[in-house]
Amino acid sequence: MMAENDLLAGLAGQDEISLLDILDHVLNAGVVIHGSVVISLAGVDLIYLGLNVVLTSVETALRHMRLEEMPGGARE
Amino acid sequence: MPLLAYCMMEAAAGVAKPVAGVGGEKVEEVRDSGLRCFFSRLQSGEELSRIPAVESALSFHQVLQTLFSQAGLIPFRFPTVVEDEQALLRFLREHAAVYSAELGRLRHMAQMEIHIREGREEGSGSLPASGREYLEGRQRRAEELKAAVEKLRQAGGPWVREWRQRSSGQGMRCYALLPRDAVDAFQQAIRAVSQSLPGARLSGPWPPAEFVEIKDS
Repeated sequence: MMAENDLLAGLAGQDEISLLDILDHVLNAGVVIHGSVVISLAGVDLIYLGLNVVLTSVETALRHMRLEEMPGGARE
Repeated sequence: MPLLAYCMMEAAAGVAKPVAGVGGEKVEEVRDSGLRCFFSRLQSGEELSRIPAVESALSFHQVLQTLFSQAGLIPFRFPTVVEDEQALLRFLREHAAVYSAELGRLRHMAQMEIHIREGREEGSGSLPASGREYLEGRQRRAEELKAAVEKLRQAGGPWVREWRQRSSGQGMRCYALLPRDAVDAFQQAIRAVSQSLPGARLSGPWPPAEFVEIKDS
């Protein structure tokens, strides 16, 4: 498994892209599959995850919350 | 066995797969309905949580960039985990028409981004003396931001096929869709203008995820 520093060194050629940009992109951009997965530990089902949005940045989460608070629950 | 999905490409795209993905797992692919979808296997649902999140995100990004350097793609949002290969194939079959059309439209395109931070007033450490002063300050900053966006948009104009922008908590995010072979010229033009705009920062090229037109069902 590569360490974080090795990964960043590998991206050094992309001088226009910072770590923050990368995180922002992988967490906020792209297609979301509507599905679900059960996380198990030692054969016991522990957590059910709805996979509309599993993990996102604070900015995106706030944007979605603001949209849902709008009259009619408008969405992007 | 759960899968971590990376991205979709046109099946005809001739690309070499990255050797390893998140957690050092092998990057694999399925093909169906004219689409090619890349993924890696997770030994269990909790495997992803064992790897430090930043490290996983960077590995994910590296897989995308390796593939994007060879052909157009539509990324999945990290971490998109599906139950198994059958679930991924089902997804491809159900959405093949729309994703194939979008991949065709964006095949030779790249996305560049400019983040413009709202300027701060001189002596911004002190509170405005009145509500009117506060509102006037906000109006002034909003106008400066609008002018900066317009200046950048015009500078990149000759190469931009589509332009989108949205306000963020700290300023404005602008997204430009342009042909891959125009990226260098666009970067030079934006750099020349942004020297006079200290709050503007350019990044890219990225896969054109902001311009994928998929209606939520």
